Amino acid sequence: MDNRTATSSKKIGRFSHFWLQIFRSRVLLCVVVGVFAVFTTSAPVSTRIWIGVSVYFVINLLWGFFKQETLRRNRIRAFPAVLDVIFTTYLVYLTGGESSVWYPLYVFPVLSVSRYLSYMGSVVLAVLAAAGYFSIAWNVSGSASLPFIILKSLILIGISFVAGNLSKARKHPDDDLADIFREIDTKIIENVPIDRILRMIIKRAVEFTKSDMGQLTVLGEEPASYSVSIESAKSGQPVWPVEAFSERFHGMVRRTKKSVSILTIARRPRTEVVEDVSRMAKGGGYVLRAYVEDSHDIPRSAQFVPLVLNNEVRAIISLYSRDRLRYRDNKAVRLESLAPALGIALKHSSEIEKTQRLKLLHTIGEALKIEEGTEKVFNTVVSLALQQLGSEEAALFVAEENEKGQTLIRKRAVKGPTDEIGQLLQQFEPPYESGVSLVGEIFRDKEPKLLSEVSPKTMYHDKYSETLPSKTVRHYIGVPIIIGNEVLGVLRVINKRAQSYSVETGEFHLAASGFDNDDLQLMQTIATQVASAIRSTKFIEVHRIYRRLVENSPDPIIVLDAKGFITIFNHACEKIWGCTKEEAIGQHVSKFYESEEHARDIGQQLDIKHRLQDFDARIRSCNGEIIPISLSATNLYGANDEKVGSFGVFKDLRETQRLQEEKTNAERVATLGKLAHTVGHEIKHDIAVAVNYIDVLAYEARGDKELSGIYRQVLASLTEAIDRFQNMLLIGRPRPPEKEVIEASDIFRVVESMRPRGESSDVDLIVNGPDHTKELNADIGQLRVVLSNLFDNSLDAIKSKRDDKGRSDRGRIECIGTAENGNLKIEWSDNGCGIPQKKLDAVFKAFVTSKTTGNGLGLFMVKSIIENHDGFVTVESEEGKRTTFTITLPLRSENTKVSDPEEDTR
Amino acid sequence: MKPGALVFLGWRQRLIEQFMAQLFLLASSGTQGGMDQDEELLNEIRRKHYTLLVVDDEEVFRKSLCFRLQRKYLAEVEEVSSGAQAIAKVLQGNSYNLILSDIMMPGMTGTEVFEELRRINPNIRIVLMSAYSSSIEWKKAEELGATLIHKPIDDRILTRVLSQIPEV
Repeated sequence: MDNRTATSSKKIGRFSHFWLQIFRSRVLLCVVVGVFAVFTTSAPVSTRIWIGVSVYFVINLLWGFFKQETLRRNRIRAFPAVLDVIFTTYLVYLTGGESSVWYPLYVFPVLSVSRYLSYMGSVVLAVLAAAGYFSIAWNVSGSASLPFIILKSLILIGISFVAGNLSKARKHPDDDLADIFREIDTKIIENVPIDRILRMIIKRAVEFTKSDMGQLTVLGEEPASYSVSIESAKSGQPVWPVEAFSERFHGMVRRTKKSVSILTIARRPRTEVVEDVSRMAKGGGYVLRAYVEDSHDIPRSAQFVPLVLNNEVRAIISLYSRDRLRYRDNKAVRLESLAPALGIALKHSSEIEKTQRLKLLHTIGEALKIEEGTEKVFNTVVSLALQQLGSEEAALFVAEENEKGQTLIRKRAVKGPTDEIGQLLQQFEPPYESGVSLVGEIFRDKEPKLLSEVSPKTMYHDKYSETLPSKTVRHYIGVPIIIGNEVLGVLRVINKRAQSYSVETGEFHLAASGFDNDDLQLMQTIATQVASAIRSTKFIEVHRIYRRLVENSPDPIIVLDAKGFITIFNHACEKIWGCTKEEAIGQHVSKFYESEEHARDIGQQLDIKHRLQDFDARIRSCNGEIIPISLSATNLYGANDEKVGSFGVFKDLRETQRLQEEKTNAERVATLGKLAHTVGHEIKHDIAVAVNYIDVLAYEARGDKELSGIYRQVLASLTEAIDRFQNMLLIGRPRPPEKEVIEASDIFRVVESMRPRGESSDVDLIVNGPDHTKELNADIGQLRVVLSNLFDNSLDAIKSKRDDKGRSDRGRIECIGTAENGNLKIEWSDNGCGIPQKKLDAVFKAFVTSKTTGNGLGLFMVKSIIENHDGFVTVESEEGKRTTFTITLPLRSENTKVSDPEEDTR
Repeated sequence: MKPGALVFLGWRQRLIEQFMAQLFLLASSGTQGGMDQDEELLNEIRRKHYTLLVVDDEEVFRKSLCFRLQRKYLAEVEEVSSGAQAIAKVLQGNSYNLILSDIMMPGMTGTEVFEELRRINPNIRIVLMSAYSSSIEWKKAEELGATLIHKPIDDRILTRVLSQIPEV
């Protein structure tokens, strides 16, 4: 790894050092060819040569975009050489085929590849070059020069053999080591698993030293805690049991960090105690004679080579031979130089492992982050275990308490080779008690179990062997999931699958070796992750319930930190304040109350009382609206009684207030109705009496025009009074209109009759009805109530405007009727004071009035009467300028009914 | 005829009124103008000799109505304060050209009086009066086919009602 980073740091711009090597010689070639082309060939050909050179140059430049690691791969390394051949062939083609002076250029790539592609590489390339040359020369020069072409082609192939031999001869003994080095490097680049790399190293070491057996012991960071032993022997050769023997010398090697050669090995005589005859020399130690315990076959000589990294023995290569005195020379000692390669491989593999663990952690972490619940996390865990261990089954048991307070270990997730089998596996194995069966024992003892044989007497053995495709339960690892002293559960895998295990092909062989210590270790790693995962899952579960409660609460809930900044702002808050959670969180809460003083007041109250119950407060929504709310809040205190924040639940009082208001209004209407009925009757009677007398008076005064006029006026006023009472009676008990066929013009005649009243108040009345043929079904009496209400309103509006401005502008009331779409539209407008925009929505509500003397019933009545006529009324107003009421009534033709535009849009 | 003048009458009532008005118009063809018509009708009524019975529990109203009928329409008027008294009067053999009765009265309602009197003498002319046009009694009276007028009593309506009384 260090080597690689060192070389890649030599990059020139974005191009690697390795590429530079490839490129440098080619640039020289390009220059040479280019110059020669100018001097030796005529114009069209030299141009073409130049084009060819440019293309060749550019392609070589492109190699630079490959990663150094890629370029260094053998297969890729052949590409520049092949390109050279193609380029040369092109030159030959342009410059006269067989007779071309460029022919020798072929030699260049053929020779160069011999270095790294050996014999065969050279030959293949030479054949390629020869074929290219042959076909081109044949085409250009024709059959006349065939013998020359064949000869030259053969020469190329011949050269390749020579080159191959040359490169071989040139090889220094150390080149073998260099080859091993290079091989390791390649394998690392190709992400070959570490055990295969180690196996390869020892195999090469055995070959290199012509030994019969080799062993590579990788020592862990802590002495003897971790070691990988790889043996390699030539096929058919016996493997000697040398563990005890090698261990004896490993200690020595580790201590001295020097290699030890054992020149001869002999059987230990049974009778006498003999010491090894040893002597440590300068370059390393050697043992003249060592003894091994009696065994029918023993190696005759051995060597132990330490691989030292960072002044520490990381691995020992043990080599054994059947020949005595095999390791006299220091050849084997040169193996020591493999240490860096081994270091790189080990480091690389540990990094891969780390990455895998990180990935594992990441996967579990991600599953947790999505908060998809325990089931999802547990399923992820068993999938991971199954995948990482290569097992046939993986299951997760989690400890739970039942209602009796007994701890049971329940299977929460299980996975088989296929989903169907996984579902089958789900169906059996009810919760274990502690100590029952293997899982129970693991739970009780807090010790992992690694078995290569499971007793058929074990509970559910039969079920498992029936369900699992391999029809057996053989290998077993179960590890407790522990946090602190508490066992949260058990993670278990069954049966290690063989490489050939495949659901598709129906082969269900198990690995012969079963699970090993590595697998156990991996299981424990997973279990550690799972432990924290389960714990946080439990925590998150609780947290999530709480969060959900807060989030989905219909009442706005705010949580503040100790300084009053918002940390939680739920969905209902978003609605009432009209701003998003993101906008609110992190802001100071005082912005969300009516005023800062108000917020401070609430804070102080809370600090004094610690909690507030149904406290009347006012908040300020994001568009500045002040909303009355009822606040229940409490301070949150930490472990040391310091205030860590506060928690407030709000209740929007607007709805309550509105309902209250509506209720009151309805009650008032009902009361008024009742009142009108009782009092109205009395008053009507009184007026009836007055009318009786005045009628007589009017008759008696018929000679006196003025007097009889006054009496008539009194009668009219009394009739008006009765009309008003009639209105009030309508509110209390709405009477359905007694509809009859009337002409539209009748309505406008009613309006016309109001002209004298207008004139007496300096108001012009403009009436413009539709043609008289339009008819409608209406109660003209009720419509008169409508019109007189509108008229009164307009007069009041005009007067109020005059009062405001202190001027006596001439008032103007317009009543314009038009017939359209089977409706009669009456637009009633005045140039009075207008209605504030905010109050427009409420004008038709009962008891809503802007007039000091109004009762707020006029427009309520207008609306109910018009709606009883299947029509509708709308209002528009510009404050201080004008107000327009638009009444739409259905005309009496083809049974049309007015459609309410508002309803249409709803 | 202004339709607005009849606003407080039920539609049946109004139909009757209109019908009567049409009849009258036919009868008095040749005369001009609403006011003139009314005046003529009034003069005609004043020329007639007829007796009325006013039935109302409210003394003030009863008196005022009697005064109006006597003074303006020159009618001979008798008055009682309850339905029972009215029936007694009729049973005693008194004959009236028209009986004007309130509907809402303690004891017997106007409607009951109407029914009772019609039973005694189907040809008897009765007009019912009320300030309540939306009451159940009013509806009942309407269904019985009684002539109904609103309180306060419009002079034109009263004139027309009285003009219906046949010449003795």
